[in-house]
Amino acid sequence: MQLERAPIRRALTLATATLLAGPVAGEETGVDLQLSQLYYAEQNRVSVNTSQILLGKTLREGDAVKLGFIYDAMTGASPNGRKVPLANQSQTVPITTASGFSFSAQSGKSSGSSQTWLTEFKDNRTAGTLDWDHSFTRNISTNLGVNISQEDDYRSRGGSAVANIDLDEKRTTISLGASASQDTVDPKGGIPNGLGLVACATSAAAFEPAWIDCNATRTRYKPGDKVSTTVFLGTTQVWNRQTLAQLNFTHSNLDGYLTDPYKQLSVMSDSFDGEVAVVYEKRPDQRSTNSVLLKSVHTLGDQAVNASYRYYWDDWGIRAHTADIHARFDFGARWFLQPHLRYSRQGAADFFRPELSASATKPAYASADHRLGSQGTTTYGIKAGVAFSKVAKLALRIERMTQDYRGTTLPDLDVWIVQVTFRNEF
Amino acid sequence: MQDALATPIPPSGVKRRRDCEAPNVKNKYGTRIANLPARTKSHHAAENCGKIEVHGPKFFLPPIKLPMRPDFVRTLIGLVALVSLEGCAFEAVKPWQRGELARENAQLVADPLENAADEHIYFSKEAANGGQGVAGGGCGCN
Repeated sequence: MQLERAPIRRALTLATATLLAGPVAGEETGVDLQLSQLYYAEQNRVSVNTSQILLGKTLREGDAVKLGFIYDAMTGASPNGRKVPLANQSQTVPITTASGFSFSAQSGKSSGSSQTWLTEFKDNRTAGTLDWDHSFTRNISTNLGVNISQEDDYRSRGGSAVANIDLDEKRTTISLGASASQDTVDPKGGIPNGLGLVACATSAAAFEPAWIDCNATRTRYKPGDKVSTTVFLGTTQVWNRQTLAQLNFTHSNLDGYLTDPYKQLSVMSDSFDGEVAVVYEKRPDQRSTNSVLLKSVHTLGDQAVNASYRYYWDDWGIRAHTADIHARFDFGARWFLQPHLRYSRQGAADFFRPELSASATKPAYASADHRLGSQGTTTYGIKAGVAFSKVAKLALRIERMTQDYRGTTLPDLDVWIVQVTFRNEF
Repeated sequence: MQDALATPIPPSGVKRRRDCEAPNVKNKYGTRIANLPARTKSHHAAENCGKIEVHGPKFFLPPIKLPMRPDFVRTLIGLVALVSLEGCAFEAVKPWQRGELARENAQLVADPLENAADEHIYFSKEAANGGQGVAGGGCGCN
């Protein structure tokens, strides 16, 4: 798989080099280059290496383009929704994910048979963005963008348009935007049947719920498609010489295959030690989401505080509160330190079930994905930056993220995030 | 109670609030300040001073069925309140007075790549996402 990926990496390097070389020579306006390398490491689970390149160029007064590349290399094991067994509980269901279902979801390969609730995977993601900013008048500007993202088993194509209108000597800016994207999830062999069988425990035949047929053929279907549309309304306001505030409302509609084909659920019975059976999860095929974001920047002498709060709600029954604050302390023109704190708590989706009961009837929808459950995420960290010149800057940030889950037996998550960013103009 | 004379005699069951008699309030120079609403009971009493309270037969508006969820209505009300607040509370800062807000550290998004990375991390680890615009780029995040 690494071999298959190599040409893309080469192509990216080549394209970047070409782009860098092209406009630099003989141009009056420089190319703004931003590079980033991010290492994301979950303890005993997933680790991701992300490389980003962002190139910006002003073509002429009022026109600018931005070109971005992202390359993610992901590896490790992530929770698949199956119940984490209690210390005294045996796991009787063997990992029998249909052979060849997905090479990026090979269950229980090296995490050991005691960790059936984790699925090993390895995947790469290549993504690109292209943005064009255009000013029609002094007070009206637009941004048009396209983005693509490609993984072994997932692809996304999207476009967006935003109009910014400045009012009242640019004290107020109104932004209106819309975007649409078309995504396809294509696990090898096709997507599984929602709430369809993964495996039955051979010794638990007496406890199997009536709606599970352990002899059923595990049918696979064609790739799953979904379409997302988003509308966005925002206002930015200069409050005084030190304060700037932004208020955004975002509404999205998702339509299509919104289930995660790799996530599963354990079917448990009080009279049986362990899982009676394992089934695939199933989510509704429509989702409507909303969020309100209030963000402000306040300067205090040479320092600045950036704080935001977001309330999110959707028709799957999820509500989430997210607060984020970072303060930047500049030491002269060269150095800065920026502590960061973020906290987010969400409630569970209506159909979130940590497990299914063998004595209950078949639910319409069910998912044990912790991302749809009640959880809290805390992030804290610090970033240090140095400026070599007016345009050349280097920054390093180190953050720790923890996630705690309620209503499930899933152990808490502990993550380290390290990112180095470099910016220069040529 | 001058304005009471101007008000038509309320029908039976309608009473004027009694807690808004102007007390004998004097300023520091000893002059009586007329028509000051009393603050004897609470701020609410003062605010409601002179307002008509309806007792006895009650009048109901026909129930209005909003096609929206209560959450949505609350948010909408909050938004309207905030936006109207913007209109009256900010200082008329001239473009040349915005030096501090033009600084790199005072940008709403100071580091685009850091922001993009965070958006992606939280998109793949939480149910809630977005809010900062319409930038897309989905993933089959594990």
